[in-house]
Amino acid sequence: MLEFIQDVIFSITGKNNITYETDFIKDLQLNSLDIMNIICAFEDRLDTSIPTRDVWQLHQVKDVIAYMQKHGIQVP
Amino acid sequence: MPRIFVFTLRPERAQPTAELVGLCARRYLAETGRPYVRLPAPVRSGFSKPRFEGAAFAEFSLTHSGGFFACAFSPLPVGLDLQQHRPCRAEAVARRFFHPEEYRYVLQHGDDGFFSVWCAKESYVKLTGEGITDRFGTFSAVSGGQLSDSIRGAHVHFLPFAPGYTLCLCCRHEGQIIPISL
Repeated sequence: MLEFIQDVIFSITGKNNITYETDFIKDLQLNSLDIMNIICAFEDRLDTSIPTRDVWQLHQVKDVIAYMQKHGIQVP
Repeated sequence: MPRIFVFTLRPERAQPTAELVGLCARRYLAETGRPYVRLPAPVRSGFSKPRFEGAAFAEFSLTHSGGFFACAFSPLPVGLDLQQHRPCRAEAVARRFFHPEEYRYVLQHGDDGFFSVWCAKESYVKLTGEGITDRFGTFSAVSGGQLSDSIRGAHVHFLPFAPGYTLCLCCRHEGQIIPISL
């Protein structure tokens, strides 16, 4: 899952060196538009829908992985 | 009529956001004739709107994009958004998060239209403090096929800025907008 997330974030922001502990705001300095772009990429590639209210609870990469596991979202 | 100060700067080095806000706050206090007070570092939780605790006279909204930083100060709540125009999934984001009328506007006006709608909506949700929620697509910055100068009664002002950027201010009250480049 980490590699998948790294790939999505890099494709949208050009940022790499993503780890489990990476914080989207503090470490990557992402703004709201970056986040929305990433969500769209996630939804397209995973054929799923992520409620916006859930997005703002995901601060670090490990939060995204936990969310995907909890909701049974599989990486293709 | 209240004055709304919009400070913009391009930091030469990476500076913590709290430092940049502090810089703007000191200028705001000077411009409004208030004695200098050391404002507490703005407090925010996650993606929520940052606030100065215990400094009710200083409402502010901050934004950064493409190496620029901007911050609006006013006695009353404001929302400010700056966005550099850069390649993004504009059509997909508009389809997913925008009101249908806004989506049609983006299809007609391309990336420039997208960034105008984005900044208007973002500045509005910064004004209200609600942030981007599942309700983001339930209101529209477009009316009658044109960008609207208001969203749900709040005034929307597109401010001149550097080429390739959109800067938008949203406020519930009419005010004198004073741009200051630091």
